[in-house]
Amino acid sequence: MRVPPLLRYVVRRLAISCFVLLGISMIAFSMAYLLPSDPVTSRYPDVTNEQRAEMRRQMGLDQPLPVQYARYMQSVFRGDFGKSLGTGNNVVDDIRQRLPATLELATYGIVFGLLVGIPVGMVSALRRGRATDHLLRVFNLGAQSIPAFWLGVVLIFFLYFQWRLAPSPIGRISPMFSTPPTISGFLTIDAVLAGRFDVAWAALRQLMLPAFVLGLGVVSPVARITRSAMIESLQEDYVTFGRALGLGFRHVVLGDAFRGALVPIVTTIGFIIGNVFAGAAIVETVFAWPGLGRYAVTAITTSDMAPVCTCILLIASTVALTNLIVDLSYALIDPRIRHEYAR
Amino acid sequence: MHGNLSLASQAGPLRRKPGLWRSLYVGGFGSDPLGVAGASILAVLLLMAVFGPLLVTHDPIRTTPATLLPPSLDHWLGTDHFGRDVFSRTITSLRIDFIVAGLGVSGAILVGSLIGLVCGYVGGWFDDLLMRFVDIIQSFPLLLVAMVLVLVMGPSVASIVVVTMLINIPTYARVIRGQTLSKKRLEYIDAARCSGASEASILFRHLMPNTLSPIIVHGSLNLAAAVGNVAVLSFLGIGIRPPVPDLGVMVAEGTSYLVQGAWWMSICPGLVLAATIFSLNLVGDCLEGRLDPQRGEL
Repeated sequence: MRVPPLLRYVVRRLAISCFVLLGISMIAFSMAYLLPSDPVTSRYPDVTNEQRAEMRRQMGLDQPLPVQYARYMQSVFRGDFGKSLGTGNNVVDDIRQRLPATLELATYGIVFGLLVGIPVGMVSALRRGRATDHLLRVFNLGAQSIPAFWLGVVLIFFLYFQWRLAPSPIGRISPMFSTPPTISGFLTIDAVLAGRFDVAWAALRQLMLPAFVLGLGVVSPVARITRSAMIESLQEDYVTFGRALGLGFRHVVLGDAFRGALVPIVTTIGFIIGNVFAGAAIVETVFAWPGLGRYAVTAITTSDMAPVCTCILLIASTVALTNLIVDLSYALIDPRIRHEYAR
Repeated sequence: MHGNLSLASQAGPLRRKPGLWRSLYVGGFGSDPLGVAGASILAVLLLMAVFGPLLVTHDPIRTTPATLLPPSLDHWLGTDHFGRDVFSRTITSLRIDFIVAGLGVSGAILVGSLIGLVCGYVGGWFDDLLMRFVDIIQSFPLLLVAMVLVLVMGPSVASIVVVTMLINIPTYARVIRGQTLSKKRLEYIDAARCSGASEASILFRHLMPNTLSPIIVHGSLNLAAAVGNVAVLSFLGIGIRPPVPDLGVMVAEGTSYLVQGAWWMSICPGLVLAATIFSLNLVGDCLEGRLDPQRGEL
């Protein structure tokens, strides 16, 4: 039986992803294993050396790294990612509690980045080599150069301490408001669903500055790739043909040329998501946002092994899986690629 | 791709590609005002870093009773919560950050290029294995990885240099591998082999010099990112530890005193940091436009 090429590609890509995930888990575990921490001493500080050795033996900490890794993976497949020494909770519960905050922040940040970055890139491509292009280039480089943590501090100083325009940077929502029932995990959406528009507005105001700082880091890579992809696709024959037919700007540039440029833009999304997670660690620290990034930073600075390993595992797997989805989505976006598989 | 190549070789005698140093000097900055601006800002900052010990007006580490003074003629950028001069500390930090990021990136260039060169030239399973490893590494949240590695090695200036090097190696390995792959099939390599050159001589005398220009572009962009990352690490409390001054540490220390209106503690060092990264990015972007024919033609 002849396997269709598209299916063969999907299967091959899935197989590679399994190996990548395995590699990720190995490296994540080894890194957490290397952290200068001793779970026994931090949990029971006043035990004798013999008791400590006995506990280490019971917990399997005297085993070599590969054995510990195998045990860890066994428990991971049972859904047990260990306990955080800092919070005393299961890491899974800790993460479940904090993930929505990060997801909400990241979604708003990425949407902002795309909404600014794609038009900026398109305009630069259309006005290539002219003053507008150079101006936008400086804007991009500037957006890329301002350290997020410093920008956060500057915005807090001026907009909160000086001018009182922004709410105080104390997390997702001021404790004055009662939070709406959790449906999506996004405070802004949940509040609207519950009909509490004052809460939604308060949550949105809290979100604005951190999402802006996070999103600014996305603008520059998006604009850069949009510019070069658009320049390339504007030179394609089908664009010339569309122009020759007398089709309007909206049809040729926003329709055909942009669609042709979409593959390289989508390719960077995996990269962007990785960046956003790293950015979230910084932004959440500055704005006291109760999310995953701050959790990871705290876990690392306190050498808390289980959350460190889980966070790194979670983020790296997300990036790897996004890349997989991106690769598989090419066929949907670009009919030329679809035809190549179908042949 | 093929079409481009044959066109380029036909046009060969007419349009000679300018050499690396010539394009850096003439094409690189001469015709691009933004590049000139970037290079000038960078030059000022570098001079400030190099001659830092001569420029400082006060001891950057010694504490004094004159705490939280606003900018004045005596203290140009004010003083911090320990009465230390913010201007002197900023210049000293700049020096340290340049050294740390510079050493880290140079190390990454050396090791990464070697790996990329060998991978691209040898090919086969060795290449496959190493590149898959690079793929995996690149899906990691590098900031968190850097934090963990610094903690594992113990927070010190030396470990930040090593970590900066480690997390940047994959970039260079990948770029130089691509360069090597595309160049090893060109005629001058065949010519060298025919004239009896050894593999090592082909690799280091013929291939390596021709992969240098992307290294310079990536190097300056990478240096910008590295300066930022060093500052982020110390801002998050991992890395360069007080009392050694660092731009990230200074911004972090200043955040607690914003309430009292002491803006100069955070904002001034951060401004210098932003200017450093911005000038490096400008220079890198300008070189990229000049050295990368695909962009330079546009």
